[in-house]
Amino acid sequence: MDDNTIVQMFWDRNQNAISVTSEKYGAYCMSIAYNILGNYQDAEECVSDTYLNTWNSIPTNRPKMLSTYLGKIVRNLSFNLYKKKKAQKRGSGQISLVIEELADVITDSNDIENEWNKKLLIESINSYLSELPDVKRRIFVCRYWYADSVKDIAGRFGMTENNVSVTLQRLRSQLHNYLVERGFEL
Amino acid sequence: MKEEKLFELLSDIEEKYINEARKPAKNNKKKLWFSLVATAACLCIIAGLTMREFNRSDQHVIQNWNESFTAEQYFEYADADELMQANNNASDAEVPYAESRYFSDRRQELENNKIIPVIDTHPLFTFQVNYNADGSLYNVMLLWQRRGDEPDDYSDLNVIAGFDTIPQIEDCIEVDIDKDGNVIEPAITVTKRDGVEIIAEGAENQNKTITYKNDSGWYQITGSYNDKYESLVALLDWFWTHPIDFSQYKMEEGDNYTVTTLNEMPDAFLDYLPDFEQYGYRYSDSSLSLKNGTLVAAELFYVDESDNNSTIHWCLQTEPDYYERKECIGKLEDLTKEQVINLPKPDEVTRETKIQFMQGDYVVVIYTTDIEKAWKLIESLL
Repeated sequence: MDDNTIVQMFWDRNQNAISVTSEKYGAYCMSIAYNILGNYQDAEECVSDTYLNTWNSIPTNRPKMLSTYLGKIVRNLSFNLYKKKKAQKRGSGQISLVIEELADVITDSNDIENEWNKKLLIESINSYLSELPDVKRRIFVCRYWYADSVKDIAGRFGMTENNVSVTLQRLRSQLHNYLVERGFEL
Repeated sequence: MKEEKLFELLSDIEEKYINEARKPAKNNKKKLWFSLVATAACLCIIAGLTMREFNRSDQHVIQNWNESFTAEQYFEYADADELMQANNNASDAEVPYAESRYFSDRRQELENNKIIPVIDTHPLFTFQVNYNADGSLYNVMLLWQRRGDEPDDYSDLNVIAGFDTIPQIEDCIEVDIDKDGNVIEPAITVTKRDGVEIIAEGAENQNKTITYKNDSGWYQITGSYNDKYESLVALLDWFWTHPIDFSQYKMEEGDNYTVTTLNEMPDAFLDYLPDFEQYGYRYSDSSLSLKNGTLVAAELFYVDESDNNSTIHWCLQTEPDYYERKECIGKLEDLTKEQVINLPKPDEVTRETKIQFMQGDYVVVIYTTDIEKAWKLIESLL
């Protein structure tokens, strides 16, 4: 079933919308949640909550890209749960490694706390991503948006894990320099 | 933590980047042209496994070889359910050698001199020699490959050999650990032949490995899942009686491959490529391969700005292998629009059509989502 039809089902308050969403995007959502949480039970809980949030938010939203819409919800829900679990010292997914790596980009900045600067910062990150070759951009997003493991990324792009790690290291360093050059105090 | 804030902030990157990131990777065939570094990493893993095996062979029953020994007997005690648990999962492995050179073009000469066996069934041959930073030889890799339309056509027969033990390769290995922290040993068969222990792993429909060390050096012979035991044992028998003379492969005599980009060599293949910009394409990325400083291959990525940023991937190979030639639909000068337009429909996932043809002695492979526009580019070369 195409995404426009599924979104229309949400608009029409057709309860089958959730089952068809689950059928089409269940694995996608699960992979994001599991990458972040490293625990199937927690991941399933977040995926279920994702469907519920989607049900509650469409309408009024009408997402152009349903997969990304779901992906953002499940990523945010999973990360919130990760933070809660981390406070209780429970659970471990790829996310702890991903977060450690991101320290290379932004180590001690107040800019990121400021709402106005957040907007400028994301614009600059988008600008940086737009300048990357396709493959490098995809590797960056797989790691820092989807929290995919280095091993999975290596498999996806036909690279060695070492090559992926080195590529990510360079991308982080480049992004840091890119943002500093644009006036962010990192 | 600031890093967590950044992770949350990244949630808002442009949706098109999120959407494109997990699209399936492109055809592996394209990557073979530039996969030298990946091959090197594999070597490192396998060499490390070799060293481990020598250390653990005393834990297994050892059978004695005799003149009537069959290929299957080398793999007598391998358990298909427990196989090959140690020779993968190498994580973040550093390549332990400094340089690689290639002697692949000497296949015929090496066969004639009975240095390597004749394997007519495998058209592709790679002979890679790796060197330490001081120029001394680290190891050699011989790879015979067969490909085809059917899974049964697929075969990689690989021989890796060296004469020295390099301590750091142990660091490249990750093995499976059980819940109590014990290393899970793969099932192996140990056969003693002329006083040398030969260690075999693998079974039918599994990857298979034979490893041994004798006075001439250490050897590891690997076959893919559908290779017969006999294929590996034939290589074992060959190198048992024709040990590799490692002194024959000086670094300065091998072919040296390097990689650069179109930014560094803007005139690369100028006479062989269309004017992409003229047709609305924007340069995105490239990889040029040089053999001893001479261009031998190119992979170019261009974005069609007029068509929702769809891409065209244009590959050029000056030394095409057997399969690259075989898969061509014809010569550039003979191509017709009808022929190109009627190529098999695009892959459902990548939505790309593959167009492969000869341009002089070179092979061109194009991956495109817009066949009509690709034809215009091809036509401009006529």
